[in-house]
Amino acid sequence: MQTAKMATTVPKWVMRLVGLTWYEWLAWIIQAGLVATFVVVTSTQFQESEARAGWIMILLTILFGGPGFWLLLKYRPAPGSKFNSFDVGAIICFAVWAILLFYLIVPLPQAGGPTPFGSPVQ
Amino acid sequence: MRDRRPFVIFGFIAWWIVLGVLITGFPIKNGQQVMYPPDKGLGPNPYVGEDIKNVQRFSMKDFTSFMFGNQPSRGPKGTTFDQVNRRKEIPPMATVVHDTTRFGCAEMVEGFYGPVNPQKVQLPSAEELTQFIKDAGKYFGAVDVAIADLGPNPAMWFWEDDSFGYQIEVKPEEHRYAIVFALEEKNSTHPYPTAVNLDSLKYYSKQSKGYWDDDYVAGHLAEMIRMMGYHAWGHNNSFVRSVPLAVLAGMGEYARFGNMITLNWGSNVRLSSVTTDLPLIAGHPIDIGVHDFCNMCTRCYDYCPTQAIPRSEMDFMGVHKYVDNLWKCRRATVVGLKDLTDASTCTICRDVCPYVKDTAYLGNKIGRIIVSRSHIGRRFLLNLDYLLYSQWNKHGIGEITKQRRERLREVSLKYPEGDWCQEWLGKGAASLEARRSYRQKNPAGILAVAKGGIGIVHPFYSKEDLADPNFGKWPSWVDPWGRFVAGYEQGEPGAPRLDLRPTVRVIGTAVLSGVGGSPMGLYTAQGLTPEEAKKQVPATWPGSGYETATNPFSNAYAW
Repeated sequence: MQTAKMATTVPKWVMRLVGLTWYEWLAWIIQAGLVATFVVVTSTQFQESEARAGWIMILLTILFGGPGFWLLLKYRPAPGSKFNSFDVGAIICFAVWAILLFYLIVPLPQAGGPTPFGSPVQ
Repeated sequence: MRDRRPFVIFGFIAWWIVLGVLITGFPIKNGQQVMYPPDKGLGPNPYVGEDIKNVQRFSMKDFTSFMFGNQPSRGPKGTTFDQVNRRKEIPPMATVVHDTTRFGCAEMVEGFYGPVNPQKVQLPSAEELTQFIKDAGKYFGAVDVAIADLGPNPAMWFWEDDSFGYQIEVKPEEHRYAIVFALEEKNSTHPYPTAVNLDSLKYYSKQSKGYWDDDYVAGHLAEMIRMMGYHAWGHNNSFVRSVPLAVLAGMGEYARFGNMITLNWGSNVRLSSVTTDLPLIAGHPIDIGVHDFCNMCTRCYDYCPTQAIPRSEMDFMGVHKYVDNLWKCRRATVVGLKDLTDASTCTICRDVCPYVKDTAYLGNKIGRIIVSRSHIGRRFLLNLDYLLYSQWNKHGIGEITKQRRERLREVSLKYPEGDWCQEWLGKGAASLEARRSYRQKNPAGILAVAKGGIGIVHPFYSKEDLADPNFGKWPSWVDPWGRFVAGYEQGEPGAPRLDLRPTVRVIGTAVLSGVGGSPMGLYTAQGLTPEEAKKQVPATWPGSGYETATNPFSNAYAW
């Protein structure tokens, strides 16, 4: 039988962990995979003595991983509430990802127009 | 409004699952290339016309196998790479390293050709044999081994002559397959080596070792296969077109700058090969996304100081592919600013290629998986690569290659296109007399004496083989230049290049077969003590570097 004393000693984060729904678990797994991938790539840059690239990857890790942490930890609008700052935050999260992915997938600046590298072609 | 959190969490999940599938290509591979069968093309490079049927073999005077790949073989008349590299900019210390490590391995080059053991060994299954050959290649130092089926007309893969204008006689039945070896060559993002420093030492020792290793692997395998009773020629940059063979074997894909790109090592590999009639299982061209990637990426094009790399693919002699201007490329890297002694080093296209990433790190392995599976992933990583390494030219490869690029641009401006071609064709490779002068002065140049030979552990000899009185004796054979070399059937000792008679020794349960492994091995076989052996005048000549090229008993053909 659980005593009152035992109940008070269980950390709050453990209780929240136990209380996660299945889709929250799934979301956390995806988030962990995403961040782990970025951390691995970041560490690779430093291992290869590409410190500058490593710092850029740290920035990218924050930009790609941060919104997920905010969504999973902080996005808790009161049920039944109106559109509020939580929803603005969620929109910003997805917008950050959309902008980053657009920038990294859609344009191919090096394949059209003048090249940025001082090529003799110019 | 109801609880919105579950919807947003589901949105998060859906967002990243969809993007994850698109970017990583798991489980659905996207952006695959059309793969043509060998009679229609090489991988994603299709044959587009009938001209291909008219192209058979190229003369060395054509300088490069421009149809499929660019493997420029050697410089103008009389040029050895030693001369090219023994130029004044190279600091003495680098020259020492260069000569010490040798620009190619004469001993192993001599293992490229030779008589075939008349006793064919009993072979295991084709699968086992293929695996054995691949394992052996990797044991000798290759990072990857692949096998190409040379098809009904193997001769078309060979040059029609050597660099001295002598015809190479290819018997189709003796060259059914090519075993292609890739040896890793580390990235060389070095400044132009004008001083004694670590960069120049690293560069020249790396490059020399690369050539040495090529010869080492191909020489060993060729010798081993001939001892097994099958025909085999070893090749470095000589006699066959390495890049298309490697592409055909499925080692990698043809790239914008005319080399092959492998998934693991980019184009930082050196290729060598062995053509043989050993019954092997051939590979086939693969799609690892290189063609698609090259269509999007222009980094080598951007960085090439001589504008030798094309902007887009073109139809050229019946093949739709990137056709690089080898004249421009080699003008700078072989001929140099003033003359041969002023040549430069380049390899910038290889060094800046996004595929060139260290194989040891997990992050790069993840990237390779993504690049090989997804078109969107390729776009993502290409842009990421530019963001990380190229966007600011003051850092990274931009700065490292700046010095080399500036110098090579200077060279490029000095030599308007065409001048060098004229020089080449007028005085160099097109002149049969000039090409043959070395040979005429050095009639024994091809059939050089053995430099020790190659001792190998041979798993296939049976007791019956060993009981045969003629086992281990070399038969008559015809060398790659069509010259008949009398063997034991005619009372001759066999191939002159194999001055050391083959010996068969049983060590434990393993049979060591070979020709001694070294001159000292020969002396041991003759029963000489080490003291006596030391007093022997070497029948072999341990030349290296420049001296090797000028030694009349050395095979100066296959660097």
